[in-house]
Amino acid sequence: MVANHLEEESYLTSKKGISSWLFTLDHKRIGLMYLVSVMFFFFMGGLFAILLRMELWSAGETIVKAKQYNQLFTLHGAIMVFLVIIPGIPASLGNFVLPLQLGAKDVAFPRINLMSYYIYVVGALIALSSLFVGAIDTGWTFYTPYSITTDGGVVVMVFAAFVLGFSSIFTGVNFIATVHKLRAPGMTWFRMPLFIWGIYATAIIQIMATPVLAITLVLLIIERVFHVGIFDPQLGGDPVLFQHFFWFYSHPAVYIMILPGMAVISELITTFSQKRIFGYKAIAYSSIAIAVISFLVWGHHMFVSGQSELVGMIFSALTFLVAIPSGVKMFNWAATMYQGSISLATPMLWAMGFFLLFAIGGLTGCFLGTLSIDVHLHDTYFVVAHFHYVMVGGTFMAFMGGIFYWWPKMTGKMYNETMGVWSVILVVLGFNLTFFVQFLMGAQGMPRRYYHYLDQFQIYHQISTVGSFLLGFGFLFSVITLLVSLKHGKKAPPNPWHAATFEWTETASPPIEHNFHHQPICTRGPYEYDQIAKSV
Amino acid sequence: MVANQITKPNFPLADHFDSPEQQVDAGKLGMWLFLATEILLFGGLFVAYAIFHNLHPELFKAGHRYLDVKLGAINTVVLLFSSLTVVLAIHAAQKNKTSMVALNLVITLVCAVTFLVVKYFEYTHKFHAGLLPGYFFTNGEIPAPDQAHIFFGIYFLMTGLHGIHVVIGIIVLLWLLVRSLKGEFNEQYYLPLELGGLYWHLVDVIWIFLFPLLYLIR
Amino acid sequence: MDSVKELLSMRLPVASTMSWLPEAASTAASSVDWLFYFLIWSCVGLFLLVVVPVIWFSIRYRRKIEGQKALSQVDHNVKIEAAWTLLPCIYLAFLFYWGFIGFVDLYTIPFNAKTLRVIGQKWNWTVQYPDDDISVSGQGAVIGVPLGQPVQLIMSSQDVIHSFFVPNFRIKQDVLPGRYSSIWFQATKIGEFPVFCTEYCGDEHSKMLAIIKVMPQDEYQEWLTKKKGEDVGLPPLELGQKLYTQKACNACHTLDGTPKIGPSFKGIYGHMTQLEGMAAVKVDDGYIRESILEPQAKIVKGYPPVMPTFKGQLSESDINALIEFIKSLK
Ligand code: HEA
Ligand code: HEA
Ligand code: HEC
Ligand code: CUA
Ligand SMILES: [Cu+2]
Repeated sequence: MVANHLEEESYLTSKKGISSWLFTLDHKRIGLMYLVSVMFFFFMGGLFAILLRMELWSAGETIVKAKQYNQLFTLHGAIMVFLVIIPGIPASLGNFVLPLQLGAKDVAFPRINLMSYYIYVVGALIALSSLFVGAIDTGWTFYTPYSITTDGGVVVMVFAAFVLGFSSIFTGVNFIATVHKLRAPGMTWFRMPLFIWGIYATAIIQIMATPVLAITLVLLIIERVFHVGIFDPQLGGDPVLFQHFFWFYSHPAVYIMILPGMAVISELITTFSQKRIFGYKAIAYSSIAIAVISFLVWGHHMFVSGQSELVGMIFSALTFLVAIPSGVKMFNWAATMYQGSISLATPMLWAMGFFLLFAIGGLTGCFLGTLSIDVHLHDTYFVVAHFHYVMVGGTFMAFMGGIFYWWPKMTGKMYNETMGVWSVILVVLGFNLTFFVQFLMGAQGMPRRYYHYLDQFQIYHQISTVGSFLLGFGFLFSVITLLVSLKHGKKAPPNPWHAATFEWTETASPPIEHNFHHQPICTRGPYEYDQIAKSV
Repeated sequence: MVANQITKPNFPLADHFDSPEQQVDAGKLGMWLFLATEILLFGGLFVAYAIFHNLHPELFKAGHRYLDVKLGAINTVVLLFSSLTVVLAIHAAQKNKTSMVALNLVITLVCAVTFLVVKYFEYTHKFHAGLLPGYFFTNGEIPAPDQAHIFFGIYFLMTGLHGIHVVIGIIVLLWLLVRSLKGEFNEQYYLPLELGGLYWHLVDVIWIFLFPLLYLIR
Repeated sequence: MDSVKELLSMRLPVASTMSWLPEAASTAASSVDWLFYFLIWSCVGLFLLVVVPVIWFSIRYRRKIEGQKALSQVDHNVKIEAAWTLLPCIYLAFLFYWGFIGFVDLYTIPFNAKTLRVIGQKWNWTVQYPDDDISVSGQGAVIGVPLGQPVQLIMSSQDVIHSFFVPNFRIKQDVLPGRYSSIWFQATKIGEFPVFCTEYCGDEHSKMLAIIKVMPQDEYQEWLTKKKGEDVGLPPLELGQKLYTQKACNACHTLDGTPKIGPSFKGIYGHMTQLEGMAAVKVDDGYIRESILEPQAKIVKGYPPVMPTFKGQLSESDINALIEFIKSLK
């Protein structure tokens, strides 16, 4: 069987020329194009972050003026959120892996898949063009009425976010239809790998929440251009209404960011422990539970915005409720490792990093969900540290883990393991150095989005800045590790990790153009490691 | 509905699907999901409507008197009728009556355009009367509190977004018309007609909500 | 400008450099702090609870030879799973309850509270003392309050959303345009405590600072009397100069001819100024007055229409004093 695979050309080489990439309908190629684009914008967002950190080296002006600083953190936040982390895992790894894991030849609507990639590109270009009409300085949250009075390219950036939303919706629709209709014979819902459950739950949020963001952004643009009086207090509108609308999307969006990360981690932990996952159904259902509850907690971003105490109470309670399924996942992953056969290869190390950092990020989320504590911590660096711990420490660690895990499948090359290990170490060290001190200064009262700050916070800021250089270097090193492998890496076997899901057991590395020679048939659960020896 | 067609030649099956059923089901599921997102898109506006109606009920009472119920009602009937003709078009395709498909699509298109023409007259009237959103509101005679512009802001937003959907609907219908004239639809393959029809029904249903909310509030 | 430099170099009182929270100086702080430290320690516990096993497993069950099989394939255990779903519920319910109680305390204003009115605008705070007929304002304004007496702040904004944050008191509340929000505190320590604006509001968001000065009752009374006397009898020019910093005109207007957010005041009086559109207008008393009270009425060419109105915050004599001051800048 394996010998068979080698005869046919892989998806990378089966067609040649630039246009064979630009007009491809192959989910694997589209996934790779997404991966490259997302990484490009990650580095751009990261560059803005480094500039931010350099400015904060000293309390007054270090390298830029106040106005530019405000533009920097807005661009950093908006790029990282809308261009990097929301499309991130689903559109790149999800696109590549999902059909393979399902045993399908492609996603349900390949044309829409390609279209959503181009919508993403167009959205990204619009976002960047905002730089030319005067960069936006509202913060990534675009709060009214500031966003309808400030100058600069608010309309352009907001419109970009609107366009990107459609890319996200189309990806979501595509994945749901694929999961429902294109599973291999024998693959019941509970035989699906947990990665798919996670992506599926994400897709639900994507199609439910994104339209609300879209209409909110349209309202914002209209308010700014035509002064309709919905958000503008001077015309009788309600500025807080915008916050409600915005967070109704953006809170679920944070689970759009983390669920795919959790989905990757589920794969990594079982594979590198060579053990069936503990509590399969609990993990699957908790993804869905998170997706559902995430729609009910948006008000926790607005505890001090003047909503009533009763409303605050309800949102606080629901916020805690959403922590439980996350906890369940953490415990299940830990239990999966019990009595396993654990290999600490690079992807698993990323997973360990995730475990460590996401635990801290999530637990500090519980600080913020506690009403009286959030009054003190809201809009301080404590919040900044919280969300970097979950987004970078959580999602991004998982993303990197996923890339390293599926790299041999995607490219057919093995990377250098020592370099891989060092990337993880650098990133984890740099990360903690950058963001742990932010908890300290936040709790002591350092507000976020501050260009000037009290001298006493300088030492924390300087530690953080040093950390960010180490962190940036860590990410750079990871990417170098991967790129080096393209040229010098050993050829990857079909299943280097001895994993049990279809993309490893049923096709070559890299896969052929139509994924499989024969339609794979599913006869067992996704993690039955004792059964796979026979098939490969 | 489409069982046992695997062997029949008239079905353009994409090569990543195993069977026409699978392709049809996937297409329909995708369309329903997309319609759900459309409803949520309008949902945001309905919420804004509800909130402001709650805050300023008097505004809405005063504002809606300036809308023309008769024209609104005509448009409602026109749209409802066009939904019917879309269904008839699909029905005709199932019976292999190719020319009936095209005829019904043409009628639907005429309805859609009629709707827009009526809306055009409504809009121009409001423009002249200064019944406009925000800063542009210049109507002096309206006996409402000084925030009547909010009602018209919401009116233009909701009907405007709906109008854009009608325009997109017209494009979709035209595309279907072209394909039906080429004779691409038959009893085995009419999926695009069905999907386009679903979309048109959505446009219709949203209007059914807009009409009473904007024109008939008591 | 200088007042801000000074302000930034002031110390936010903290118990010690390594303590998590700044020094507690209000009645609310004690219960908030108790919960905060409980959270820290319980979360350290929970963190260890998940991390220690993972580290231990990865040492204990480390794969030693290639192809080694797992010791077992256990994949569920109802008792343990129930425990780790339900026990956290109890813990979180507890957190929720204490957080909520503290929250209600933070927002239940005692009936005997003294009222201050706070107005936020780009980028300074104005605090009016309705009972005593004084007000303080400007970047770095010193807000005097008596020790041991509940004080209620009724807050609103002139322009965009701001947020009033006093770390030492553990209070924070958004300040919104077009509506009132309120919060209260009762200071328990004498000293100077910084106030930050914590809702992003533009270029000088991070300079929108003030100081709450907590004084014993008698000292506070003295402070009030002194404040009342301060502006009386000041010649208009000096008063204008003072208002220029106090009302934070200096956040946007310079005196040396360099444009900032708004045009510089230097030499504008008596000259023509180009407006948006075609028109030009002579800067005279009437125009300056209009610029202050209805800034959106005429917009100077090349500048954004962001100047807030000062209607209701400046008395007639204040406005006259400002005009005199601008006039004096040749
Ligand atoms: C990936 C993104 C992500 C994720 C997953 C989360 C997860 C959580 N977040 Fe976070 N959050 C953000 C991204 C994210 N957040 C962002 C971007 C902001 C700020 C936006 C802005 O203002 O710019 C924010 C802000 C934010 C606030 C508002 C703060 C403020 O502005 O005042 C709050 C308040 O409740 C909150 C709470 C939580 C909670 C309770 C979780 C929970 O889901 C966490 C659950 C996880 C755990 C609890 C840890 C693991 C479990 C265990 C170790 C087991 C044992 C634990 C227990 C029994 C408790 N978050
Ligand atoms: C996915 C989301 C994401 C990611 C990955 C990051 C990554 C980083 N973020 Fe960001 N951040 C946000 C989302 C994210 N952030 C959001 C939403 C906000 C809020 C914005 C707002 O308030 O509106 C924010 C705000 C924010 C602030 C607060 C600004 C303020 O409130 O004033 C800071 C300050 O330290 C910061 C720092 C960093 C750093 C150091 C990284 C690092 O992890 C970046 C590391 C990556 C690189 C450095 C790139 C790779 C390497 C190179 C390009 C090579 C060159 C490297 C060197 C020269 C060292 N971020
Ligand atoms: C938030 C920034 C801001 C603050 C604070 C501010 N201004 Fe202005 N001001 C502007 C801007 C911007 C303009 C130019 C646009 C316009 O005409 O509104 C302006 C214009 C003016 C003008 C007209 C100048 C000319 O050249 O024609 C006068 C006079 C003026 N301001 C006085 C004041 C006074 C007095 C104060 C304080 C009591 C003040 N401003 C506070 C931003 C500000
Ligand atoms: Cu005022 Cu920030
Ligand atoms: Cu949230």
